[in-house]
Amino acid sequence: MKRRSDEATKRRRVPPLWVCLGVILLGSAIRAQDPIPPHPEQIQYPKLDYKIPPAAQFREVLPNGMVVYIAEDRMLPVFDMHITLGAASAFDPKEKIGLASLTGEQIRDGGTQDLTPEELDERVEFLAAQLFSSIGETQGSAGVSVLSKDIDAGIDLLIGMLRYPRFDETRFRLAKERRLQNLKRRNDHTASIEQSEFGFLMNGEEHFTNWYPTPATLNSLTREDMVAFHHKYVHPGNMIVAVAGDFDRKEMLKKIEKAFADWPAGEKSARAFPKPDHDPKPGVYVVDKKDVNQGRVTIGHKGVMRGSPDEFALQVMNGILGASGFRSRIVAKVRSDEGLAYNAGSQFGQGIYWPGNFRAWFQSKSNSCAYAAALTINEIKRLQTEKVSQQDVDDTVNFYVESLPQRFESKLAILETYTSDEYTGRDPKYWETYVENLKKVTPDDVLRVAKKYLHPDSLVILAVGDAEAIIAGGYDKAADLRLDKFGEITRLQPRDPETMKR
Amino acid sequence: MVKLRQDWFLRAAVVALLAAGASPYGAAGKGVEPRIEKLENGLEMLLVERHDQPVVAACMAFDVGSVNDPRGQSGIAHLFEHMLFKGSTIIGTKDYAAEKSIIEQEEKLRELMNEEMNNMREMKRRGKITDVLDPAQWTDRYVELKRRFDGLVEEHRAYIKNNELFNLYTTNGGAGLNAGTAEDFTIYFVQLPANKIELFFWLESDRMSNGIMREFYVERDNVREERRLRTESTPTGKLDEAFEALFWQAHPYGVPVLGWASEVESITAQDVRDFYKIYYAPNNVRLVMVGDFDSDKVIELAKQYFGRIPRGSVPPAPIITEEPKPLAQRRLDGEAETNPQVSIRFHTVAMGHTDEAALDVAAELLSGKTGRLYKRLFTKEEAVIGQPNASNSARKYAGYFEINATVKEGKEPEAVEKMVLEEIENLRDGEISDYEMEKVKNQVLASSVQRLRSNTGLMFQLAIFDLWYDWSYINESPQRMLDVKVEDVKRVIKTYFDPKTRTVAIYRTKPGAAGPDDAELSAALASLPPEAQGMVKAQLAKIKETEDLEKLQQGLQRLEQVLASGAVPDEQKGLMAIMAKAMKSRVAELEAAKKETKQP
Repeated sequence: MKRRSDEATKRRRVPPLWVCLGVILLGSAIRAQDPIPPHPEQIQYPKLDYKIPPAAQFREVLPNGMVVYIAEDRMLPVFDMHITLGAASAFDPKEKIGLASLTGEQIRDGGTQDLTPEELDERVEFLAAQLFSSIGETQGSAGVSVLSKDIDAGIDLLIGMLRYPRFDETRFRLAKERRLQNLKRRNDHTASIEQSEFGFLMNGEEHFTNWYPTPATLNSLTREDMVAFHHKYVHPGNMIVAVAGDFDRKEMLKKIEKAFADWPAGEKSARAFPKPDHDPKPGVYVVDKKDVNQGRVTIGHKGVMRGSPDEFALQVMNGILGASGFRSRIVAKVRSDEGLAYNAGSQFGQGIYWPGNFRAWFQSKSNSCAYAAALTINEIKRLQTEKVSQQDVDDTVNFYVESLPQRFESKLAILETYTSDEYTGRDPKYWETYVENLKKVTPDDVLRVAKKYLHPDSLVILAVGDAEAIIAGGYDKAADLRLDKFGEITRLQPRDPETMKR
Repeated sequence: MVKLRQDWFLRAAVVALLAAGASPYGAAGKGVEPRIEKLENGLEMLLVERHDQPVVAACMAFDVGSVNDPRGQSGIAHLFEHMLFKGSTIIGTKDYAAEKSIIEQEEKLRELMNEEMNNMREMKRRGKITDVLDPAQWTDRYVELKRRFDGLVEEHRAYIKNNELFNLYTTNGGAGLNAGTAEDFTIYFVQLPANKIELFFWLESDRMSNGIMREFYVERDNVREERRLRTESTPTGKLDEAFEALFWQAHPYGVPVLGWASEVESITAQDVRDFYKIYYAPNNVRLVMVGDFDSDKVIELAKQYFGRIPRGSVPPAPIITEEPKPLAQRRLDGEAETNPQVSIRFHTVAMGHTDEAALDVAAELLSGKTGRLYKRLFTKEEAVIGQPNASNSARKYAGYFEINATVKEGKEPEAVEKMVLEEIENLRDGEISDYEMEKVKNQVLASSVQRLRSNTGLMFQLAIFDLWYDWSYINESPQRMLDVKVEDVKRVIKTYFDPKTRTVAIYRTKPGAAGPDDAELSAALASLPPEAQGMVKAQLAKIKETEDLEKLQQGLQRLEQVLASGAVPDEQKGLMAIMAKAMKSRVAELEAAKKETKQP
């Protein structure tokens, strides 16, 4: 072993590039006329004129007013129908937190008018179908996926489930029991503590995004609550449909129209959700968790609403900072240069219904959290004081623009993007002008929005892990750096996992 | 307790596909017919053209994984995978000659650091220090060497183009660029716009042959952080690792992909160079592409770019270790901050074995919302929460069958284990209906189509199947499952599922890890408004932590008086009693501690 390495060292004394090529290629293939360019930047690529297929190409409105996004896709004998529902946990009454989520689950799990839960499960699994429904923070979704030979049976199952859910009492009880048991596990993972605690710090205790089901609210839920919730929100007027697969477009439209024909359309629910009424208090917050040797750190402040004139400049700025993978500065510094974290990055939230959050994050061994935080904050500040290069902007814009064909890889992916845009009321021109808008961003724009929207002097810094070790720091490259360098430490008692109160 | 030992990407992409047991395509239609091409240097290509979108999924899948880690160097296959993102003699450098000289100096310093580290390990074995990674315990010599080394790393940075490989891919539309290391394969992959294929050939042929140890020790630290993230700072990570080590007595499948901590943090750049030379050769890889390209042109590109690389000079040693037949039951019984769980495992067969399909069918009969385990454990017994799962994992060298379930509060994991074993017995000795078999077969047919939907998914399957057994598995496996008869299922259960030699993991909820651990308290609390619940819990937490024995005893006395006086309303009595209980138990703890400290 030893001798081989000595020989290799000797050989490497000759000019390195040639040696290496010589050793590896054995001098066989590289000739003067070899067409391989010496560097990939010199590769000449064929032209690809990719245009995002416009929404109008897929959008139809049925006589009952329901919007359908539809695309034939004949590659495989499969069929997918996905429905976006105007039902949300934002609509939960405060004493019944958990209602929407449980209802969403029980629409699928609780059987239908004609089928017991067990019979529905048998029907679905015998067809080898996938049938699902769920309700999240601001929207719900339901759908079916089957082989195209079973399209009719698949649509029947989906509509039967959505329109006539049985809400079987036993399944309901078991689901509640499972949820009650799982409430106790909310503090198991540092990742979930970090996520919920940062939510509280940003949006305050009262915002509905921080309403967690508790034993009291779950125990108060009844089958009647679910029936009423379903009655209020689940009807065609409150749905957007996406269908893709192996079918004829015209026939499929007729089929969908017929399937929904005798179901009264009903009202569209309001897409307005309460905004948080809370100003985050800058400072350093630490939650103690024993027996872990890595701290999770989130650093941030409030972001903005989407659709502002600075939307694209902010996207590029955040891409440069921490969202374009290894190209981005936080990753390059904290991970590539310093070896401090496997995972690091940033996000500049541009919220749909309320302002998003700006956050930068990493996970590092306890004693290097303070050092990694210093590096991260420094990168945030640098965006405000140093203009980024044209190369930074170009690379980041290309990062987003060039990968668009992959983003829209399947028909279903295209439809899902447009369904979501329709639901959230995004400007219909958004994708049409997306590339153009990104390409307009200049280094001056990035500097301007960094100055306007980043606030490195009023950061909320949250660390979850072995509190003493994280605060003490002591990493060998910055032995004197403690976490309290960034502000007075507020120690947050872990919340009670069931009530999420302290 | 689903074991996902592979690198992160696999969680989403591959394990989901493979874990369920059933496999893709074939039976429902014409099957997948990749074009196969082999270069003179042994590089094998599998190409599937699909022209509906202008995108291509491409990968290099090497026949190497953690099973090939030399003894004492666990984690090296995975660490090396990281190194191939750091560039080459051409990519990632501003001045390779300068870099080379710095790397040589770094190596010399590292040799000295390794010597000193060995001294510190010796000190640790003798109890003179407790942690060789704690800067506060380092010897002066090590601190000095480390300081000099960090200076070199800093100097080195001036000559590095940070993350150039990543940048070249992503600015040209490369999406999902990543790699993953498993026990028995290492795969590098990316999705590209159809016009950028040549970039893949340039960069992949370059890093197969021109890789260097740039910033090796920094990356080794990142890999150590990855291990902290996935294994050491998660509730069950370390137990999951212990379970693997228990199940595989001899086979290197029992060694973690991320390596044992002490070994990963000791791997040297030279170790990695030796590893690279053996396993990263054209005769040890599959190049797989799925998407919008012309195969003839791709083959030309491959000849041009990869044709220049010679076969490896050191042939990889075969993995010959066979897992000995287990002699006895093995059990792991641990506590963690988690719901109680049970996992039961049996050794089965490698991929492509004649019994594999019947084992896959057995897994299907047990799994799903209409499978036997759900019906018994969830619906009938109400002994589990959520869906129990059974899967047969047949891999390159060996396989196993695993059942796992999350136990409902108030039920014993051992009782759930017994029910599972009974269901396996029922499958072996009882009736299996035609309806159940037909349902399984419908699912086999559907999944054989559904699993072809994404280019990337198909690419992974072809690459991994071909490394493990043969790419044609994608067509064969569904057909073999369709041919399985009831007798076959019964036979394989008799052959492989001997309860006397099962391996079992039971995870129990760590007491006091989270909130009230007793049902009495839960019930009492549920009747209170949320705010009051919080207060009660805060009080209980204070009681558990207090060191003031005297004050606690006084408080307890008062509480007992109040309770005895009859002045407490009925609905509060339960809670008062719970508080009293908590105080008593803390009093007992503190008294015991007092006694201990008094002993000499």
